[in-house]
Amino acid sequence: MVRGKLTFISGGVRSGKSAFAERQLVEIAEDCGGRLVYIASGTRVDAEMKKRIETHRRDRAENNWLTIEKPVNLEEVVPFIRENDFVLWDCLTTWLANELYTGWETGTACIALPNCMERKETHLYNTIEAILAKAPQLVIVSNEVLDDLPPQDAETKTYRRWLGMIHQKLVARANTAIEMEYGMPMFWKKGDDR
Amino acid sequence: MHVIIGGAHNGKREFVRKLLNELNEEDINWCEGEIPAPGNDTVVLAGLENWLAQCELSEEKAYDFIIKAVEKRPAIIILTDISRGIVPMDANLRKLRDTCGRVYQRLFAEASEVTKVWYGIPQTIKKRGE
Repeated sequence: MVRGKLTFISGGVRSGKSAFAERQLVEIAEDCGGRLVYIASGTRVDAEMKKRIETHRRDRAENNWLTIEKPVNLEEVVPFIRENDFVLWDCLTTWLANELYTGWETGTACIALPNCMERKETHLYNTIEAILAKAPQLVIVSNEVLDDLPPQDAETKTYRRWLGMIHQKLVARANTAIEMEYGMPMFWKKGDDR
Repeated sequence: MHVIIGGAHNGKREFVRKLLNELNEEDINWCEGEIPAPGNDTVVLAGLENWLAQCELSEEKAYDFIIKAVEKRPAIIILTDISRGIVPMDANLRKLRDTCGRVYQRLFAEASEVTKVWYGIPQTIKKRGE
């Protein structure tokens, strides 16, 4: 079977990256009669985040998305993915924070364990390929947060290093890679998908 | 002078290593966070923001010092974009961002070639003669 197409989109906050990703998938799913699947990695940690999630949900309501919430353990979505699914994962930055810091209070966070994130990183690429083995298109949304002063604390340094590394590897795997600038997509890589 | 710009952890050094490999450059003076003495060999200047953070010179003199070190020799300067975050509380960090911004602008203007690297993908922003 042909591997599905991978699109990587990143941008600043409120740059329109999710809306662009959704629009793209809605159009192509309509043409192909496919199902729309939304993998959400955000968690309701506070009222603002809850509202943010509701806004995203409302934006997607009219197009009949199947939402799967996966703050961690992304591989668990694979059994739910069908052929002809058009999949959006929003977003890598929250997933990475969840994976690195979950269990922080009890001292069991991945960030403190040797080789933990290395294993999760390998899982991530395997999961992405497993999704693409079934779905014709997967769009991964992430954030641009690396054009800032270096942080002082070790945890944030580690987070940034992982994020940059994963971004580089995903861009290398992607058919299309887009940097979103306030609704304007800048194509760093333009594959044969749309 | 070739300037490479991009955010942290975007693969800028890796890009420069490949570039030098393709050019078959062997005798390379690679400086991290320091400025070399003037010379003729190929120089790579990285971590300039760290040097500027510790530099006791005035901004003007610091800029002249950098230019003296890279003029009259093949030079690549790797710049980390630190300009797009939240305004820091610490006045020294605010000053560093401002200094970097101004120095980077002058280096862009001086460079014969400027390349932005985004997660390993290069894009030419400026090239003299094109």
